Amino acid sequence: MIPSDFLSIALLLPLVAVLFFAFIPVKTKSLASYAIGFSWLYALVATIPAILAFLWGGLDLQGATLRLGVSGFGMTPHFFLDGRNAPFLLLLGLCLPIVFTLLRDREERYSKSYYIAAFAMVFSLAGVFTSDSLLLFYFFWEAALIAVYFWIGLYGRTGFHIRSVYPALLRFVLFTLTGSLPMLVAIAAVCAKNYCDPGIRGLGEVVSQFSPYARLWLFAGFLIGFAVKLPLFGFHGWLRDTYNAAPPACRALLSGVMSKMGAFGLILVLVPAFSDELRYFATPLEILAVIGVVYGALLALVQERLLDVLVYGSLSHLSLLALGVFASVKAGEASSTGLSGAILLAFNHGLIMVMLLALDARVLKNGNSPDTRNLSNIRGHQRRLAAFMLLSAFASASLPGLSNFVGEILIYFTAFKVSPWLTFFAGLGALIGAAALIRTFHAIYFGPASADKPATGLAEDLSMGDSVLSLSVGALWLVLGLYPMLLLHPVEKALLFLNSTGWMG
Amino acid sequence: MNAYLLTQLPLIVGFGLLMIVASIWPRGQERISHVIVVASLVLCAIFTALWLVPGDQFFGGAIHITIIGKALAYAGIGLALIAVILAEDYLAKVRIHGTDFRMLILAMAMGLFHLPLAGDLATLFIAFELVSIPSYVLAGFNHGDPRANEAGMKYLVLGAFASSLFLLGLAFLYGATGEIHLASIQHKVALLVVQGSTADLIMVKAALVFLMGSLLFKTGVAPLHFWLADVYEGANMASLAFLSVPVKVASFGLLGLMLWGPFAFLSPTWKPVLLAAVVCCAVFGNFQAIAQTRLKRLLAYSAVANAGFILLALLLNSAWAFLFYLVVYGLTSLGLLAAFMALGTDVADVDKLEDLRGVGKKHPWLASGLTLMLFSLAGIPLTAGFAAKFAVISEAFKPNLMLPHGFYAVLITSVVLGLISFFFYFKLVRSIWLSPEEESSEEVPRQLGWNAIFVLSLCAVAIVGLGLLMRLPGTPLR
Repeated sequence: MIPSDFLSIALLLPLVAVLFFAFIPVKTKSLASYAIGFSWLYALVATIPAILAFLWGGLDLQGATLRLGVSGFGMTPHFFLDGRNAPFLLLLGLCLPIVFTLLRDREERYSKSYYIAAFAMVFSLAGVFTSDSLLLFYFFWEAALIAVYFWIGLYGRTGFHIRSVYPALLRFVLFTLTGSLPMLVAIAAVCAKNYCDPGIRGLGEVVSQFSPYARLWLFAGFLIGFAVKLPLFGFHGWLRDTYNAAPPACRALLSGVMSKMGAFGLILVLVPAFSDELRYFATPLEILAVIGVVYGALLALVQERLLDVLVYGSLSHLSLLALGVFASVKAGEASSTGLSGAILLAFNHGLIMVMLLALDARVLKNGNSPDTRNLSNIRGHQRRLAAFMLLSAFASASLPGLSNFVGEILIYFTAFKVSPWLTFFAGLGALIGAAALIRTFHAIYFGPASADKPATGLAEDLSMGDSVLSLSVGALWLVLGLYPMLLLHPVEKALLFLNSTGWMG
Repeated sequence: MNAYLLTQLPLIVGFGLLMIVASIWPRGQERISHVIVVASLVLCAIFTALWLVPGDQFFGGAIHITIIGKALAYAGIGLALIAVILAEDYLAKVRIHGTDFRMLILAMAMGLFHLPLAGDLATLFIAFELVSIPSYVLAGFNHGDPRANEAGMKYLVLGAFASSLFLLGLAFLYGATGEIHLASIQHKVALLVVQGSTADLIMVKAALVFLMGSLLFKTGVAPLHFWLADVYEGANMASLAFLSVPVKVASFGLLGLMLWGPFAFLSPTWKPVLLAAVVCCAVFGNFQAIAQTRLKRLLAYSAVANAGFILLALLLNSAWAFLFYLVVYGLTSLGLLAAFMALGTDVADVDKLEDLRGVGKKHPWLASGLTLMLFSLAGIPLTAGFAAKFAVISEAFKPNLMLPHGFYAVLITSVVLGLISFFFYFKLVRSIWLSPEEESSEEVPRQLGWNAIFVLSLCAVAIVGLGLLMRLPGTPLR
């Protein structure tokens, strides 16, 4: 089988899953098992082409198997996979089994529509990460939003911050559309200029034909779309309430994979096509990113619920990622270190967030997030869960030797070269973020046992199977932390190759 | 025999047959009159395809076939046909005397056919009235319903005013140019513009003002849209299918043909006016829709918001985007109405937002169709609504366009204000899928309207199909 067939299978398998759940009559009892089956199969199917892309430095799927649109209408569907986007597909593939296995539906609360929405989201994410045509990219981008809309709308939960799901959901939708509509106009402009869809890889060439003034508007259109999804500071208004309203599995995928759509856009769309504009606005954008790092960390520091700490910590980390991208563009020629750091951070952050959010929903029986005001010293009740939770927390705090450290240190390297003071503040922010995480964990697991904080409502500890899964994820972090070249080398190779072809301008 | 007369023969014969059927066959006339209307419209469309060739002229230029005109005539006849099929079992449900209704439809179809194909001023006015007069009657067709009476009266008075403005405009145009054929008028106006003869040009500009005023009123373009929501609310669903789709498409088509035809050389005068109208449409259509709780009123305001995009296509001189948007809009609206009709009970229509609660659980397929139509109106990708909006937006970025000042600002404004429309479309989606059904003590009798379901599936297939058909400006059709 040639590699491009793997890629089309990786794209189509979630669609098959959607159709399976929609049309095949399955007992509600066994829905969860089928979902787990599909997620493991997907992990297999998505990681193979990603790894092949790493090994061979890129493969190309020229729309041979998927044809969207009527031929001759100016839009040819292209998909591509190389060292730059392979980590994103790999991330999606690895996250699914974690989410569906750790958060499997034991009480049969969820019916078919839950899994349809979930796999529709996976399909859209796979499409976003691999499509080359700009219009396809936009289709999948919006499709992901629709899938999440129904997932949260049908199975969302009211809780601590929100009295009803819908306002939070609507805010998420409107925020995202505010970002994506300007992007649509920019895409339309580019396609019209070129008389056909130039694709993500041909974008730079077409953009360079515009006048500098028009290019500025195009740049703004794309930037807003990605900034909302990431989110950058100022575009993060939807973040907390959406995560609180979402069912745990959706929340994990939102934070772990969907927020990477923004990172993907920054790294693969904005940097190659708009390097001049990015360089021109690098300093203000860097400042925005650093504000996000510090602001997210400070907010995380004052939260009482673990989920909120994680949400704001995630904002902080993703802003750091953005800092890496902006700094590496500012540093200019041949400095792809920050960029590969950003890709690495995207991958590792996604995996760690999925793990953390999945474990967070496993602590209490009702799936709510543990709150330091009600819980204390619970490690004795859930030993395995506590252990993996701590491991994930350390990974998230970028402990050297675990995978997150590598991406962050690469970003600091690059950023320090161009703007040392901003990097200092970013480092400070990361420190505060780590402190916030450790503080909350300490309060929940090691805090003094007290009578007014009885350990009630706790869920059972992780089963043996879940532990093995968590352990292997932990092992992966350790391997990637100790030998990062495994991931870094192919990414660097792809970036360097593109660099040599004038990719960085 | 004259090819043009042949195309009209089915409509005329059908009209006559309907009169006979109505008088000699008091019982069982519903079915047969339906068959007659459908057959007349289908035959008319087939004959048009067979015998009318673009470039032909009949009766000394009174009928002038053009490519755009033929396409618009098809759109009018085709959408009217779908609306007739949609109306069949609904008419029986609301106890409307179907044969009378269908006679009006045939008369209107004749008008819809002639509006885009008219070659001179007299034919144009007759066609205009052939469309207008039946639509006044349609608006107030349920005599029993006070809201329908109000709608009919409002539409009649204001519509008659618009008609007289239209006539006045035609008179001024004739007075200024001394010509009756639209093509000659275009030449004459061009000549006047080149010569700079101010006195005659002022007359032509006055004619432009009258005609635009009347047509913008007919199409319900903001700020002349004040009647729209009331008329939509009062009209029954079957009448609404005609008022909101074929009539609207034909009126927009006429606006386009007038502005691109006789007034093409006055574009510096009318383009800024249309640009202002686009902004008004985006503002009024989207903001006024937020507060609506009745579905028909919501539909009316969404029509206003969509009118803005149609005008943008008109401003861009892009016949392709203009026609595509009109057809897509027509199909989406018909699909939406079909879904509403299919969801109504035997005694009442779905009227308010709350009536849609829990529909997704009870009728998942109907609800999916309805959701698809809503997504298409909102312009979510992979629906025809998105393809149409994308066609307009990408036309705007074609190189070497002569655009009025501030065009891009207006374009961005209408795209961004479109965000507000997502707010209320998603409110509907929420009612359909995400809200629990209200507890109702008694089960209301409900017959499945197969016609409505047929039309809904037809429109759904068309919406998805056209959504996949993405064409970029400049690329050839084949």
